[in-house]
Order: sequence, then C-alpha cells, then structure tokens
Amino acid sequence: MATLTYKKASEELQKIVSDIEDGKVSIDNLYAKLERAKELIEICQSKLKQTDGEVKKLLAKK
Amino acid sequence: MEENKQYRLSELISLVKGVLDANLNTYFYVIGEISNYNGIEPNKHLYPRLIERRNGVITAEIKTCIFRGSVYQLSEFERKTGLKFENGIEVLLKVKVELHPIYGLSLIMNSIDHNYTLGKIQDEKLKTLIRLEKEKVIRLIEPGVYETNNKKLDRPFVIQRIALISSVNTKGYSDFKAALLENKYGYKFTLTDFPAMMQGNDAAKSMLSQLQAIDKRQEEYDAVAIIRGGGDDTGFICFDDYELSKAVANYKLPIITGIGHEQNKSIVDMVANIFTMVPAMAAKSIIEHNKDFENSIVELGHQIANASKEVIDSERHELVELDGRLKHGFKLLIQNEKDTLNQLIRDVKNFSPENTLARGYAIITFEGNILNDTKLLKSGNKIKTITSSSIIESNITKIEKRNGNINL
Repeated sequence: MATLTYKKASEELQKIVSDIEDGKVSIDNLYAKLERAKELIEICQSKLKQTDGEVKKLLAKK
Repeated sequence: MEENKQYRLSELISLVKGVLDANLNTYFYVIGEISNYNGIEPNKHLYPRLIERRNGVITAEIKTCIFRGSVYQLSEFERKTGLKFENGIEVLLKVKVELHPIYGLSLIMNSIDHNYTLGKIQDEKLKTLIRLEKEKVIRLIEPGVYETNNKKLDRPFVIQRIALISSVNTKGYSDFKAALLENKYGYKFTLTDFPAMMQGNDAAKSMLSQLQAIDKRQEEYDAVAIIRGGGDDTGFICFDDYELSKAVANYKLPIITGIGHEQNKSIVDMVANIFTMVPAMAAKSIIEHNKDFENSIVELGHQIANASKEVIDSERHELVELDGRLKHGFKLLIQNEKDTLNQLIRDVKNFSPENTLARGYAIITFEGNILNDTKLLKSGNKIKTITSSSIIESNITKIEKRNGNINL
C-alpha cells in the first residue's frame, strides 16, 4: 500500500466510483469496494497533505 | 624719437613702453602652446612661456606671467576642461603686453578661456566619433547614443568574476573595491587586478594592452571594469582615444566604466556595455544586476509554489467530488436492489392462489384432488368448484372439446 502512487490510487478510486455509478458492482462486492474506496481516499488525502506541507516548508526557507 | 640722438637705456625702454602702451594698452586674446611650465608653487608667480610651432619648430616665443593671484585659474581650468594644465597644451589666454625695464617683454595673463580648450577637445572627440561611425564600430541611434558590439552583448546572469583595469591603490580603485566587496546582500566577487596608467599620455596605450591581456583569458571573467576616480580631476582625454574606444566597442566581455568625471561622457563611456559616473556607482550597478537575477529566481520560486498549490487544491476538489459521487452511487445502488427485491415480493404475492381466485379464477377438484386432466371425467361425475367466496358442488351433464376460444 505504501508504494501505491497518488496517480494509481486516484485512478483506482475513479474506477470504483464509475463502476458503482454504472451499477456494475454486485451487492456481494459492494461492501468490499466501499472499504477499498475509503482506503484510497485516505491514501490520496494524506499524500496531498504531505505534499502541501513540503511545498510550504520549501517556501518558508530563504 | 629723434634721429641720431643719444638716449639712456631707461629712457629708451620708457619710450618703447610708451609706444606699446599707446597702442596695446588693453587686454586681448592670444593662442599659444604652454612651455617651460613647472607646476604650481604656493604663493609664487609663475613664468611659463607661450610658444608657437610650425611643423614642430618653434617660430615664436614669449615669456608669460601668471601672478599668484591668478594661479587659482589653472586649477579651475583643469576642473572645467578635465585637461591637465601642462606643457604642450594649446590654450587661449586673455593677456596684456608689458615691457619691464629689467625683465623685458612679457605677457601678463588675465584669464584662460576654458571654452576654447573645451571646443578643441570637443572637436577632437567629434572627429574620432565620426571616424568610428564611418568604420561601423559605432552606430548612432539617437543624438549622443551609440550602438556597439559591446553594448549588444548579453550580460551573464550573474557578474562575479571581474577583471579590474585601474590604478591600484588610488581612491577610485578602493572606492570600487569597497562598494563591491562590502555589499549588503553578501554577494561574493573575485577581482583580478590589471593595473594600468589611468591618466597622461601613455594611459590609453596602457589600458589597451591590459584589455589585450584580459582577452587571452576571456573565459576566466564575467566582465571588465574600467575604474578611475578621486584625486586628480584631469586627464580624461585618454578616454576619447580612438584605439582604446574602438577596442572597448568591439570587446567580447561586457565592459563597465566608472571613470569619475563630471564632464561630458567620454567615448569609452559611450561605447561600453554599462556606463556609470563614478567607481562606487559602477560597483552598485554590478550588485544591482546580480540582485535582479536573485529577484527573478525568488519570483520563479513563488510561481512554482503557486502552481503547486493550484495542483494540490484541484486534486483536493476532485477527491471531495469523488467521495460525494461514491456515497451517492452507493445509495442509488442499494435503493435499486431494494426496489428489485420489493418487486419480487409483489410478484410472489400476485401469484398466490388467493390472489388468483380474487381475480375471478376458480379451482376445480375431483375426488379430493385439483383437476388437471379432464380426460378422467365422465358425465355424472361429481366435481367441486372453489371460488374466492364459495365452494360449489355440481354434477357433470356434458363434456365438450374446446376449440380454443373462450365463449362464456
């Protein structure tokens, strides 16, 4: 999971969302998909936060 | 004067003086070259000679007297013309002729005409400019402004390695060095001295030979500074020199001047990449040039940061939107499944026997079983008909084959 890039995570998340929207997910898989989606959102959020922090740190330097 | 008459010497001189006074008792202007001048001595009258040459040979000469009250004019002349008052210069003097019984005939200087000398310098300068323009070394853009190869050079982003043509340990030299090395931004510089004579007859040649020396090590420097200033305010004519000006105009490294004179720009100033009035200004212009670079870097940093922020913000929005879509999609999907299930429940209910009877259908039983095959029946058999509301017992009176239509 740690090696998952932002791009990969975001792409996987988009696929799950559109699958759910298109009704391609069965009730049997739905919970698992939802759990995965939540996990992916967390990965993306933490990566964004980290990058944002690094950018701010770089800017603070002079 | 009477013919053959004897005069005493003093009488004769007095007579000559009388003639002179009668005809020349007024100040007038005379052009001549200064000679036998040994510099200013405090509180002393000066007695240079004014001469005239033709093809190098002196054809006229006269003693000239500058009284100590007029000596200050020599410094003023130097300040106004930027030219050293020395032997060999041509000047226009306002004078009066005087004959002294002992010291003989001399000119008493009243004043020096600066404008005459300035005009001469200007004429020479103009001639050089015209020559340089004709040879396409310089190109006039607007009055007094010329384009040259040196001016067109791209300055390096940062000027740090400087070849310094100057007279070491003069005021201008130290002014330049101090301003550069003690800059408030803490920029580092490497200065390499190329000592040269900065005034006098050999100055132009001296600077030119240092330019040639630097040229051989071009890659080691970002720019050349020509620095002079402080102390003596004269001898700027070397900076109008044809050969030197031409070399500066075509030089491969950007040249910065800080020659420190209040007069008009010299030709070297006009053709150099950066012209400044004094050494400290030359240093400042280099520092500011580097500061511009630093500013542009900082600005670039801000741009990158802002762009990064935008990327992060847009990703954040995307994520929030995806989360929303996920929740909505999930709800829809669950709702769909519920709807499908409810429909099934309804369907199951619809097909129950009670519901069927309620719609007007009936069940027929024979001998306790639901009748599915009428072949078993004969006239006279007893059957039960179950409807939604009643059970009817009946005897069969007739059995006919059905042709497919329902004719009640």
